[in-house]
Amino acid sequence: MSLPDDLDGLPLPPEFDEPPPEIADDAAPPVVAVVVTRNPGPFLEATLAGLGAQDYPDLSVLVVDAGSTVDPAPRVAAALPDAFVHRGSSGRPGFGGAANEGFELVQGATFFLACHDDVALAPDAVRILVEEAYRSNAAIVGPKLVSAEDPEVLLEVGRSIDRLGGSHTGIEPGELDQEQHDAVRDVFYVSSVALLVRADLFAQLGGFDADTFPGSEDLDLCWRARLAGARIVVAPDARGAHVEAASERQPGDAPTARDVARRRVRVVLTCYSLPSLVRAIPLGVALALLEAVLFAPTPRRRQAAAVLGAWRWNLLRLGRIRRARRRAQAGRAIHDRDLRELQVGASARVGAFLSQHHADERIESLEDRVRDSIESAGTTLVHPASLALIFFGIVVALGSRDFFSSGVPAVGSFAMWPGVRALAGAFTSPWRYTGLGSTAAAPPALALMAGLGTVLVGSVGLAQALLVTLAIPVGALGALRVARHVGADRSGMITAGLAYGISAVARNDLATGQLGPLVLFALLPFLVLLMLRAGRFEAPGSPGRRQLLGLAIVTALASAWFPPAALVVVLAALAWCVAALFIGGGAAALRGLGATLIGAAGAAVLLIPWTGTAAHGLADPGAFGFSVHPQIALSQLVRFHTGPAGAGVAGYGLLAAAALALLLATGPRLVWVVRAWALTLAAWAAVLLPARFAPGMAVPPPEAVLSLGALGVALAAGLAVTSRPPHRLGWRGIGAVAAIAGVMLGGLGFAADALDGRWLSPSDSWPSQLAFTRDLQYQGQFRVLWVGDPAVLPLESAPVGGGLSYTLTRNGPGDARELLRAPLTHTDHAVSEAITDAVAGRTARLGRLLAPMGVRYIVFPQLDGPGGVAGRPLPALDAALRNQLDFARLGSDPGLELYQNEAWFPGRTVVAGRHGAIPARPADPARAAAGTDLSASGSLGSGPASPGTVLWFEAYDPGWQAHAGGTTLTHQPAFGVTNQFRLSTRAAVTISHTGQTRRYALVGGEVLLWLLALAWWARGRRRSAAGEEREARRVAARIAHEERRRGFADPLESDVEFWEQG
Amino acid sequence: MSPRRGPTVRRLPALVAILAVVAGLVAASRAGHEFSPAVHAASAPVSGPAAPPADAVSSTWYCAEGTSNPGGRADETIIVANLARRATTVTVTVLSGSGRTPASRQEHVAALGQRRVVVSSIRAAAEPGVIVEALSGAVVVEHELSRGSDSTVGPCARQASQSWYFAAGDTNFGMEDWLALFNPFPDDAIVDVTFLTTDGVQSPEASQALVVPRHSRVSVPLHEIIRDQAPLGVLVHARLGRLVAEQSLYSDGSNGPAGLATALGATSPATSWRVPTGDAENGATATLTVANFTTINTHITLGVTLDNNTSLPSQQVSVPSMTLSSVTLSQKVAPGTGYAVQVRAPRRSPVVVELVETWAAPAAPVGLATTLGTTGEASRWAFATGRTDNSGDAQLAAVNVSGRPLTVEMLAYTPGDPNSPRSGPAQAVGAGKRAVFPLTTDGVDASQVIVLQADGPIVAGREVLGPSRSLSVGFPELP
Repeated sequence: MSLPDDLDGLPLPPEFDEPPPEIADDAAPPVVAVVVTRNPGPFLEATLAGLGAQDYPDLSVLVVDAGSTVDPAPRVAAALPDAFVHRGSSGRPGFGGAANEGFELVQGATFFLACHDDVALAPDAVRILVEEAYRSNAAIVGPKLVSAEDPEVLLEVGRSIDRLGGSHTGIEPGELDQEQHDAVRDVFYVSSVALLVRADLFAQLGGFDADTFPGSEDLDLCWRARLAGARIVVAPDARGAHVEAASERQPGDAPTARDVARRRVRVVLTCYSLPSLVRAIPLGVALALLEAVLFAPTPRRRQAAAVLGAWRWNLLRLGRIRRARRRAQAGRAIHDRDLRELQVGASARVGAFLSQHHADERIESLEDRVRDSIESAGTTLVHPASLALIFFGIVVALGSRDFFSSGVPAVGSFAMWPGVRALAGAFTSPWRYTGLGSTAAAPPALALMAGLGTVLVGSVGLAQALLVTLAIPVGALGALRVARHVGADRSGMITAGLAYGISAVARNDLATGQLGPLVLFALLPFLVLLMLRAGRFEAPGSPGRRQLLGLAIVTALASAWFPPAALVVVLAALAWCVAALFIGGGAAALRGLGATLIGAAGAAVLLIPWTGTAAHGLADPGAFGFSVHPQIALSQLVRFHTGPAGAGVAGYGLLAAAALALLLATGPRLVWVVRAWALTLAAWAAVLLPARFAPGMAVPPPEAVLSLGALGVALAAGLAVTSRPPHRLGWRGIGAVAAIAGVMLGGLGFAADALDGRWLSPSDSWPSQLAFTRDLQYQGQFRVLWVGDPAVLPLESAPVGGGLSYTLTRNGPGDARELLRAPLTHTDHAVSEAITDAVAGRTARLGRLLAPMGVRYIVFPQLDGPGGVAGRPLPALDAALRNQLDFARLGSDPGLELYQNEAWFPGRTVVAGRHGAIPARPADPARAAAGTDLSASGSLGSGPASPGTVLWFEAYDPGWQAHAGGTTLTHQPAFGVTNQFRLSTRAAVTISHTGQTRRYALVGGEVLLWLLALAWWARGRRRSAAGEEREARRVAARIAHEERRRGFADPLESDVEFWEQG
Repeated sequence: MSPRRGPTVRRLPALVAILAVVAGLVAASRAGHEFSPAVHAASAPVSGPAAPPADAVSSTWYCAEGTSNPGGRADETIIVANLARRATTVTVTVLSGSGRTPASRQEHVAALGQRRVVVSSIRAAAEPGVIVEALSGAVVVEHELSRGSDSTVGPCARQASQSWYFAAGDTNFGMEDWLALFNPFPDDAIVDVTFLTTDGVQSPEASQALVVPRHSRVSVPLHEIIRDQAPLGVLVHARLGRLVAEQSLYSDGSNGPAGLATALGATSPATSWRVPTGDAENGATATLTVANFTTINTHITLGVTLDNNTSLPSQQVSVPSMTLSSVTLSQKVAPGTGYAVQVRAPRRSPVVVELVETWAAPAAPVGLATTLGTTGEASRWAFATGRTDNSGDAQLAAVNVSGRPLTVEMLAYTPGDPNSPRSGPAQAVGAGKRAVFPLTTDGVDASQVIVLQADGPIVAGREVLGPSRSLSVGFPELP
């Protein structure tokens, strides 16, 4: 570290020169101690007594009251008659604001001593601090703090921070003071419990930043002082006994975890330089998210959420932070890297966590949580259900190991996620690069993927693996919570969670690569829970706006990944409406139905402008997840055996457990069992009936709807276990044991499917085998046509008819940017018609028909991946592809036929001479293409091109423009499908779409809409929290009033203290 | 957690309701429809190409056998017929090896007209493979091969295949048996040729792993690989790629009547075959060969329908696995009687059937002809030409396969004639019977495109009676 030898630009006190003298009484620089207090406890007197006993000759004491209910002046006068008392301005300025107010009243002081009202300084503390300030040329000096309760216990000797502003003391909890930390040393900051600061520097820095209270006013001041080049040291010879009374204060005075977290993040955003922030913000958000996820299942989730929320809160208030930041950065004299030696490394957080070091509030919180968890685990681990839950987690981790080691296989909609920039670019692009392209709005799922990737610092592969892997445990957690809501006890909750998690539905989603249904599996229990709450099944009343908004937000999140999600929730509500005919509760069911409809409508609003594409849903349901014609027997359906997972008798175990609930449950539980079965029966019917009676109708993948059935089975199984008698076996107890055995039987299948480490999904994927095609872009842009059974095609395929489908990818085997394809346009039909012509034997020139669309490779997979699930045999397609004159067969895996189109020409090319006359709107586009051979054309590069016809292989749209030499080229269709521009002079050609500005505006509107929705929802949440706080205060006030009426004198003996501490 | 307060329910009604729904689902699972996606594939017969769909974007024909160099063994002429009422342009491309640029020529074909293109006029090559492409569906293509005074005419192929089957090769003394393997595609093919003889299977090393390079034709002299075998079944299987295979037989007259015959192979065995073009006359020999390429011994049922409204008794013929059986029909049919042959095989052991006829004196002219017959049936059958030239005679034969009486008429198109087609007198044909349309008598010119049309399914073939002999089936116009 390089610190300046002097304080640049700061007037040094004349007493600066070495050696540090023993300060004579008449030469002592004046020190003013400002004690900030608010509703102080009995510790105030000890604090004042300590200051009164100081041996420093020129010390004045000013007590600033920061809004106490009772004027503390009499207590101050009694304890320290020489002290001044200042009643601070109205409101709640906090420590920093109050201290600033006090220091502004003081004239002529050389040092200020900021003090809390709960620290008792040793008699020589102030003198030592001043002496050390001179000896070390320090601008801020802090004492060693020990516990007031046990002075042998060290609390802190200066503090450091990690890269995210997390505080570290380096002191272990309960560490005894054996002078092991008694060397004077530089520290990043010292606590405002007692802090001596040079008055001139304090003034230059503008004092404390009042907005950093609570919890970070000292860090902020010291950090800014450091940036200004000042030195901060700790003088351990100066001791202070700290009461640590924060937790003893009244609810309104005690800092909350949320406030502390917010101020800590604010300081980070204020004091770091911009380059440092670029690194710190993603890292901070990622760690906060990880912490939130880790602690989500624990009672500490609120604290974890506070940390995550702190980032969100601050990032939404950058305007306010900007002022403070400008002030902090204006005085910057050193680079951030010069402070790194005073910061702890990135691993310190984990290290401190593991070694149980005393760390900052967040680490402390983590530590507490872990300690509490371990303590509680000791009691809960002996519970078999808990052991099963742990085993479940281990199996999930083992079963998903290949997803992390080898990546998620690009099967189905598990397409490879490109970089964050590519995803964001696809989301904000005015042109949807799916199929032949369209102006349809991009799906918000792209933004969500980009967001997840950003949170993980660009590790989109990890983000994808986490999303895919966590779906099972998150879904299980949701089912557990639903079970709790419907009256299951702990065993029942865990049973329900496990039964949902081990159902074959999610495993089949994983095995066959169905991202949308998998996300729905994870979110469906939460949607049902929100519907339950909004429907107020247990407490009649109107659903709150916040509940409805929450339902809309979660529905929007699910629908963003899988559009039919909203319908599945509505199906659940409808099932309960029908069930109400037999079990009553019709009003609640109707409220739930209404809530789901409102939630769906709200989701539709939140997903604007993507929702606008739904207008094409009837014409192209496949673009919205309705792409499957299931063929499934009832025996498979009831076991959720829709894919490779779930075979054998294991699948019947869960069903038996759920069936037992119908016999075991009584009373209200039986009502919920019937409702659970209603969900299951509705799901089965929704899959079976269209398959049998409307086989031509496309429906969502059965796994999506069967998530609802799995949830019903899981809830019923959980309630079966809950229905056991508490202290005797009996027939209900035997039945409950049988239900548990059924779930365990299902668990065997689950564990067996986990053995391969990838949940029966293919070990590799076709896109990875065709990755070589990405390297061929230099030869010109192209498309890959995937054709075959939709069950084995990547991404969302477009129907051709007769059980055939196709997918088009660009410049390679495709990635997640092509997920949730745009609805088909009339130009896309040219592709399906060409395929139909070939299969029907109406052409042997499919290559030429596809060449204007840039199709260079034709892929016919018979499996969904190497060694994967087989699709329907399609001998006619096989024969048709083999008979195309312009298709050259390339070597490939046995499960894949790969052809190269010899008639291909680059997607962006210029043709001249006799080839230059491209028909714009031919009467028969296919015949026109079949009669045209442009395979000798080269790619149009960025350099000047010869005059001719510029061909652009995206679907024709008036928005496409080509410019060359400052002029806009004449634009018309090519072959009635794509674009052509007339280039009359040699010039470089650029092609762009005119809709970019509009798209940016729409994206901005969408973001604004989400921010408003989240803010409204969070406001409602705050109101709920504030309501709880108000209620607590009201109770405390009532008790206090009662105690005063009964004559209690000592607050410590009052019930108020008891309740507050409790 | 204790259960929340809420409504209660009586168990029995709830159980009954749930069981009722489950029962309903069980009933539903047994009712309704199975979804069987029907990919609308071209329903081509396994032997003989069908006419392209009228709405085809383009139609492509592959002519495998033939030569176009001076002194070649089978000088080739392409015969293109336009069945549409508007003129069209076809592109004739001669591929002569992967190292040479294909030579193409565009030919105008008048409405309802016919065009003959001598392949050597486009490119002279020892191994030409010809592709004929039209941006239309209403086009059929045949090719005529000639060697000295002998000639033959037969259909070109509309599709390639991984496998091709022939039943009646002949490598006896005096015979040349050529197998033409045409790979019109841009990737190489590797081919194994396996032989079926009356003694079993033979796979000589010389016929294994034959490379047919992209855009090229390879001729395999079977008579040099496996000698003195007749009949000789041939299985061509591409282990890589796909191709078109055609076989030609040439007899130099040293061991029987001289002549040239060609046959396009079948793309797979079938259980039902019909040969509509039997002709018995003095000096003629007709041999029907049945090849069983399966691993199952089988018995086929042979039926022969004679032109005199009689039929020969059905005959069961044993065909052991991976071998051949021959039936000499000329011993069963009286001279001067035309006939049609029907062969049926069990479903699990399909066969390939080929009829070989020779005409020796006193028959005139002498010659050699072969045809595999057909597995298809249709109400319209097209022929690119009826007579190879106007000096010879020819007739078309139609067999009623509908099971009810039909009326069959012959439509002979005249290029550019607005009144075309001119039809001869329609013939009433009983169920299972055969009708014959003599072209000379009806005044049909060699340049005319002909269609046999009926009000029910028929099978139609052509017998060229001179100056050289030739047998073939027409192009069915499939729905």
